[in-house]
Amino acid sequence: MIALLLATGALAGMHPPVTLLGADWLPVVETGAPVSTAATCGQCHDAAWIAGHSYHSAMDFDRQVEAGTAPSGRPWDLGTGPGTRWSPLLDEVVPGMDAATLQERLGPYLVGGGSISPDMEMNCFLCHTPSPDNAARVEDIQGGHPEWALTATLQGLGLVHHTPPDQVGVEVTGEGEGTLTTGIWSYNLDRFSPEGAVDLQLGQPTSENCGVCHGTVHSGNDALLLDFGGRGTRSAGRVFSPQRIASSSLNVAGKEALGRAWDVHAERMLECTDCHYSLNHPAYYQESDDTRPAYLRFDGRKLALSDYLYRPSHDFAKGYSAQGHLAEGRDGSMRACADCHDASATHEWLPYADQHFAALACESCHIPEVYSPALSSVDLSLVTAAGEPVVHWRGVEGIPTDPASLVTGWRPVLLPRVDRPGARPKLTPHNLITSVSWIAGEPAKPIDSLALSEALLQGQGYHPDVLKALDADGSGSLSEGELVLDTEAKVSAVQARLTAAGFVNPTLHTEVEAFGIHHGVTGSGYATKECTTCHAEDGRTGVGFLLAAALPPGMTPALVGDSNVLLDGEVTRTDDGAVIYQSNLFRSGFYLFGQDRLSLLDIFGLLTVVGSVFGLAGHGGLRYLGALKRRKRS
Amino acid sequence: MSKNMVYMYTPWERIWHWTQAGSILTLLASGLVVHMPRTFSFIPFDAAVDVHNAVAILLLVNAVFGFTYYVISGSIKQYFPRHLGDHLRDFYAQALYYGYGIFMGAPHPVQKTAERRFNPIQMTTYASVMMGLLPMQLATGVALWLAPYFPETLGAPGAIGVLALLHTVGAWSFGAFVLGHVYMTTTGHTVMQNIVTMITGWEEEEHHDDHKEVQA
Repeated sequence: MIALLLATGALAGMHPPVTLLGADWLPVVETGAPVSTAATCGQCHDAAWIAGHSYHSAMDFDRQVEAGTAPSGRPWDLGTGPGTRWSPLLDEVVPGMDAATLQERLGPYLVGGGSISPDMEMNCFLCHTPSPDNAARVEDIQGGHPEWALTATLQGLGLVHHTPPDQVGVEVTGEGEGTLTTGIWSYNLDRFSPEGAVDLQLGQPTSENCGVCHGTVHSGNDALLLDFGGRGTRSAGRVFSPQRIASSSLNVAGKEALGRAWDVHAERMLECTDCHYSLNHPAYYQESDDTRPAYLRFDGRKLALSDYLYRPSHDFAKGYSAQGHLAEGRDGSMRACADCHDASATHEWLPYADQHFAALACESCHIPEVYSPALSSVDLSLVTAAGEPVVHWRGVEGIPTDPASLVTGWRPVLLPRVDRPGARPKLTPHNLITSVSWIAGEPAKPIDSLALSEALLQGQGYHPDVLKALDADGSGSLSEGELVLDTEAKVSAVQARLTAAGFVNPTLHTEVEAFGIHHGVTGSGYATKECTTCHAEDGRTGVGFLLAAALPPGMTPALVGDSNVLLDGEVTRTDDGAVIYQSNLFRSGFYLFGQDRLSLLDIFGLLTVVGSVFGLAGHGGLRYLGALKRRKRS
Repeated sequence: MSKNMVYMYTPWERIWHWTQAGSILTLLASGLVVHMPRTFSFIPFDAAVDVHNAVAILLLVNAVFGFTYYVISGSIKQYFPRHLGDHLRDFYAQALYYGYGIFMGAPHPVQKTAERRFNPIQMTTYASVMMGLLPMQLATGVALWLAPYFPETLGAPGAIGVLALLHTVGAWSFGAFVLGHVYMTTTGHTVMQNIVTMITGWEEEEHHDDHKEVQA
């Protein structure tokens, strides 16, 4: 029974009240100290062990490598995690940044408990309470108070409040008749029992908890608002919601016809943890086929519930990433689509089903479109007047955060992907995000938007040298269309400005990163079923995919080295300067009837047939003329 | 010049021929739709695939039947020259006829008989098609069809592409062959004579004294 409750997450709310303890293992309601999860949660759980078995905490910061040897192939990367791998798309972490800057940049995504955030214990409340106050938590991390970040999270439960500034540091002793104010946060004692215990409504993390960092998660009847601070939504347009798109408040083009849910798994009431479960969860864990003896169908030995609750692994099941190698030791630990679904039972209609299953990821047909904007390109060759990178989105007309903008949606590009060495490449939907950055210094490192702003901006506007080179209409400011280094002269001007600002040998660097699309799944009703969606001259893999609206002259983005996708096609430029990726699946070993062809062969074949027609017609004509001649003669 | 009727093709040979002709034409048409679905969008892609597969099976069965029949009946000898020297000489004479004599009303240089139905150029062409092009096309087609069942070999990345390209080469070659073959049927004594013969089995034989009769 308990196992059933555990598996269904029904234990949420069954957790007993907890006495919040500080790092000194004394109740915080008595000391006013920040909450320590190592002590509070450590009363029953092995908090240290949990933090040590969580890639969310570690972020691979403890697996740093020598510069130049990272899987990405970038000379400046020092590892595979967000703190050691250059990320121009979101937080602009330059590997090797000092701890304070790193904490500031990665603040929204730091869960604590790892060496990347040494001043912050693992934040159990962020994931296990129903309404964590993430904004307050991030504010403390970025504001230099990481030790209070855990406590700040509890504001969502109404257990704490900000201490008035003039009372910070004042010690007031009282027995349940007021608030102790020894720090920047104070405890609302009326919410605690006389013994200092409180019901935190602890339970299994909900999808909303995951969405705090990973992207838009939505349930209930409130208006769906896209959260582009979440990595998943920003990079892949991820929206995990059971709501039907037609009922959404978003201005999605043609949504009247979209009776499908944003994600069928959300619609069927699955939570993130149902797939991304704890790897020692006794109800979910199943040893991989790779390591389980072939003769053993089922291993009855399971972790006892008490052991699991004492040491629940916080290394969660995960699939394979299209880009990056974070926690690659856990790659493929998640059950794939076919581990839960028997495709053969529902795809009788599909011709050559085995061939399709072997060549295509399920998502290729079951995520035909993404109805949320996602990044298309991030241009750090320039900054806006606000000091931000020049960002372009796909799937939206206008600003993506503006509810009035028309969300047109976009069709992911199908790329061959090899999830593990030796595996057969499968076509899988992806977003490709292009970035342009300046690289400078010795050793060379990317210049982030903050440093770029200091060099290119002056006062409330641009530096005169920059304005002179880029302000084509002489307006004194740079419009969106002018914010692009599309000529050698503009590149040289900005390069000179950077050199003048002290950067050594600044050069432009462009790259493209692939992001797999695995959420936003739809059921059979809206999945791709029409053969000619792919099997046609203008089939899905035959049309180009926009990489960037513009790139500096002569630059072609290359795929970052730690990707498992194959970019075997061509990167071309249109007349208006847009950079397009054109797939060539034949080079990756695929052949799509109706789309793939060797043009030269068809031209030669057609010439042979047409030549035959003309040759035979000529021959026949001469025969006819000869016969006429003979008839006249006779 | 004398005329008499010669029984040239048995019913089995005619059924085999027309089945093969119909199959190949259907396969060319359906294959073209599969190759360029948007260009021929008035025909559904999946229907074209189904027709292509079904007719391919018919062609395969017909080919097996034909090969067995030709071997057992001994007719397969029709595809092989008796003497290479004579064959080359007659080949040249036949080429000269198609290239010049036919325009001048010259008689066929090689007499067609029930035992020796093919002139040297036909013999070489048909042997190439029946023992080269057709088997290759059938083999690549069957391999493509079986590819899903042999994912490590026939269905391995890259293999299907090579098979498909070979199949396309074969298809274009068949297209050119069919055109030439149909045209050559008009080079009989009358334009329709060869086609009528392949329908009825009987051919009105013309005998010229200066004809070289192919000895059976």
